[in-house]
Amino acid sequence: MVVVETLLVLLVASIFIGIIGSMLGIGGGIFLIPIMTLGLGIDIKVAAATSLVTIIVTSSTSASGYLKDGFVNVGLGMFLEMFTVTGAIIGAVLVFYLRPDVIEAIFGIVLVYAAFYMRFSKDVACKPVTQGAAAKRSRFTGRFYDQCSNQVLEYDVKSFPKGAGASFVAGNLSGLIGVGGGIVMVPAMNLWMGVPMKAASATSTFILGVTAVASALVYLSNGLMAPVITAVAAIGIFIGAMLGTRTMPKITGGALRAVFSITLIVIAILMFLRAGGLI
Amino acid sequence: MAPEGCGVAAESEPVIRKPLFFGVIGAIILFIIGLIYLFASAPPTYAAVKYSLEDIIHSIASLDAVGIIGIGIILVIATPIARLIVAAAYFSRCDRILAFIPLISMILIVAGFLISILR
Repeated sequence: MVVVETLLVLLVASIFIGIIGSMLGIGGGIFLIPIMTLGLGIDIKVAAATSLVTIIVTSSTSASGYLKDGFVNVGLGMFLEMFTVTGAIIGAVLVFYLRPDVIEAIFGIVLVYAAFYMRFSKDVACKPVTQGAAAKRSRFTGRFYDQCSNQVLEYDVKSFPKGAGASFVAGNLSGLIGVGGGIVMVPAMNLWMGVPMKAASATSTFILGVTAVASALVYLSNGLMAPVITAVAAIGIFIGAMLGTRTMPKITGGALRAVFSITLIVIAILMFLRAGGLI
Repeated sequence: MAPEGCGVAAESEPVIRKPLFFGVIGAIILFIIGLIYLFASAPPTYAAVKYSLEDIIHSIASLDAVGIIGIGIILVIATPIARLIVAAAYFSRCDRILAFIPLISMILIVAGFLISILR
């Protein structure tokens, strides 16, 4: 494929990924890497490096909006970042000792997990988790205005060790295969730590950027950054993230989750075939 | 317990949001300028040309198209780091633990970067 065609395909794909990523609260690397490796024939390590930069763009664009709307639990996000960063650095160093087919197989497993999570998990109902008084509020207590119930919701965070462990795993995946780790962070915060879905997605988006920085610097210092495709993908992701933030309220979550999980399964099958040398 | 209005961080949100917003906007502008410059001067023959950190620094020094894109990439990477610095500075006024946490993340990031260079 000639350069202009490759870049145009990447730009269009990145816009769609930016829309989907911003609506679902994930970085978008889970879609971008297969398109770059399977569709455009780009080396998976270069694709991972590009993906990490675009994750920072998605995170900065979306988190900026979520902070404005008050959905981000800043204290919790900063706490969990310590563990995602540690995991990301270890993952980014390990990537130089693992074979590409092993990385692709790991990625396939992550996609299957994400598909089942998106298909079968339930949204948290829009109601206050706790009606905590001001005196009981800790530095990790979250509070946001919920449009569904038209009231300010407050919740306390629990199970910090589980959340820290999940954050380490999410960071490790980020460094190893260039995804944001949102597919691990969101369910961990929502199911284990008692964070409502909207706040979990927003806080995950907030964390993704710092996690990806730790890995991106390692990739950059090892000469795996391709500036031209990175710039094109970043522009597409930025446009998509801006559009996605405005489109999300008009689409039902159930329909979006169903399409998302089917897409992930298809990509996972392709990844397994590629890891096995069949395509 | 954190001081009222600090741990919940409602007041911190506009402050922490600024580096994210301006960082990503600045980087996207640099990417667009760099790509226009690239295709107007010497279009690449292969899209996924890899650059090392030294290559990017040399391009920045000569301010060619890849150098402008390189500044954009560095700005993108610096944006969350700037957010950590702003958060640490903000919370140092009211909550030492919340001020200390982003500093730990920054130390980890710098340590990881140095390990990858020295490895």
